[in-house]
Amino acid sequence: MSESAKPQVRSGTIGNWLYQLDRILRGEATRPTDIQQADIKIPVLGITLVVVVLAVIYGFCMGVFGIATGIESAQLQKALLQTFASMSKVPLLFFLTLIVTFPSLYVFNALVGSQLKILPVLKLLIASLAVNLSVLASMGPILAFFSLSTPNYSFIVLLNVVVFTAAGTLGLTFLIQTLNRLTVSQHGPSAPVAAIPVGPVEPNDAESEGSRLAVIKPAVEPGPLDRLQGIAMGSHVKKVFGCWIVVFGLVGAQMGWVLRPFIGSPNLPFQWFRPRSSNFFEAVGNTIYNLFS
Amino acid sequence: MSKEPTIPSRIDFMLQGWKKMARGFDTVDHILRRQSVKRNLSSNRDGRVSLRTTVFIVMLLGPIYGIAMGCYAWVAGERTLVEQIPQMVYSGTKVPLLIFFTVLISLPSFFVINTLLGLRDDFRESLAAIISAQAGMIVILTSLFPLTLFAYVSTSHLEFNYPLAILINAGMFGLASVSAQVLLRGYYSPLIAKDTRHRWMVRSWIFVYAFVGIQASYVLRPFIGNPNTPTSFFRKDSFENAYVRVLQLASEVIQGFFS
Repeated sequence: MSESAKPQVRSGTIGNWLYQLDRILRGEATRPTDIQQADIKIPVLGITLVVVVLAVIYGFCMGVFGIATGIESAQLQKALLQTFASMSKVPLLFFLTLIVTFPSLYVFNALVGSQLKILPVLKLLIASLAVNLSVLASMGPILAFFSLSTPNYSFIVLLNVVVFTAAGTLGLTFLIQTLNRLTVSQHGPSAPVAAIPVGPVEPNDAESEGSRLAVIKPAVEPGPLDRLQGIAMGSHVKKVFGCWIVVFGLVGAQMGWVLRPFIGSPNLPFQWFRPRSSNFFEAVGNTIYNLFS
Repeated sequence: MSKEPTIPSRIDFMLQGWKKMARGFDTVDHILRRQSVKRNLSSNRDGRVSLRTTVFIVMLLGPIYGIAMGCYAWVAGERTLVEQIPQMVYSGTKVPLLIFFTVLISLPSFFVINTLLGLRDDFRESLAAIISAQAGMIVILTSLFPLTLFAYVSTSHLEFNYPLAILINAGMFGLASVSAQVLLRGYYSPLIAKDTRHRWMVRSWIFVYAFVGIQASYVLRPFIGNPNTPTSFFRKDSFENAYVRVLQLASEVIQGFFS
């Protein structure tokens, strides 16, 4: 689909940023045909701000549990403080993880053989954060509903772990598929990008919306999470990224542990940070045990 | 001079009313046979079974099952009809509420993940499928209400009739949901034929919908109304978690078994 067919700029800056976020989610920003120059065309600052807003929204949904229990136990001040803390900590969690893992991703990316410069890698990471946070924020209403209706702290903690894992998995899949596309486009692919399934070109139904009129598109457009056909990742690339995903997941999980409390146990006083003890995985094990007792 | 309605015009009026009703049945029939969606999708037109129709069906038929569900204490002979009317009204309101709430809460993530999988261009069709499945579920549920009433009548003499009533209704809701999922898969089949990624989408929708729906129905309790407790819209302890409760019950059973 040619870019000129789409309105490039929507009225107002916020509208444009949301449009850019939508382009990332739809895979338009990382479409193999448009990624030839080994760069993703996204406004870094705008997307970063959108990511922060999404994180704040999810932080608020996390704080709902505190508000619900706070109203019950007449500790509204503690609840509001906790909500404020969660709203500021969720963006912090993601950006600190980004800072910790950015250098290693850059180095590994170079090791894999990609000539990607530092700015495209940063853009790539911001874009995958945007994917991650969008999924997270879209699950916010579900979390808020369960937080309102569940007095059980352990359940909410585990639900958060599940939601974060789901969002993280999608974000990382996006990251890897896009990095692969970027690497391929840098190398000048031996199995060219044309190997994506481009079906018979047919104009869209004339009855469809105005903007889609006369747009020529392939039969199946690869989504942002799709592996491109005809382009297989090299085995060493796979290994490197396997390791890197593990590192990213571990850092993210442990960062969440260091920055806790996000939800706020109803039995403990409000704290900005808890003393450093134990680790994420031990805590998840304990929480599962608590759920049954 | 005012014009007296003639007999033929009255018949005409009645006939039109009947035609409207017949058209209503036709819509229901189409939903169950998945015709309207199928036709729209195969002709590559905007495959929406109108949202308005669905909302109308849910608002119209939802209360029927709700009221039937809520008249338990009256059928069981433990309360008079007048005493039971508030519970029937509450339950009648809660069934549509449950459906709307569950769909609304689950939609944002469905939208984002659809977009991420590259299925945004089909989102209207996906949404149409999901919405018509809700209408389908309500139609199925409504068809079950006589069975529920019959079960109430035939079990009211038993000592454990209230827990049994809960089980019966859970069964009916379960049956309606499972059948509606079959409908949903049917609605989705042209989409899946077009792009296999839709299969994952419909699976994840069913999972999230069930996960949210079970908790929502637990929060919205009582639907049936325990004859031994005063009638209320919400239970005092309604903000509880269904899954935690089940886990605790299971762990109590296991502990009891070993002690």
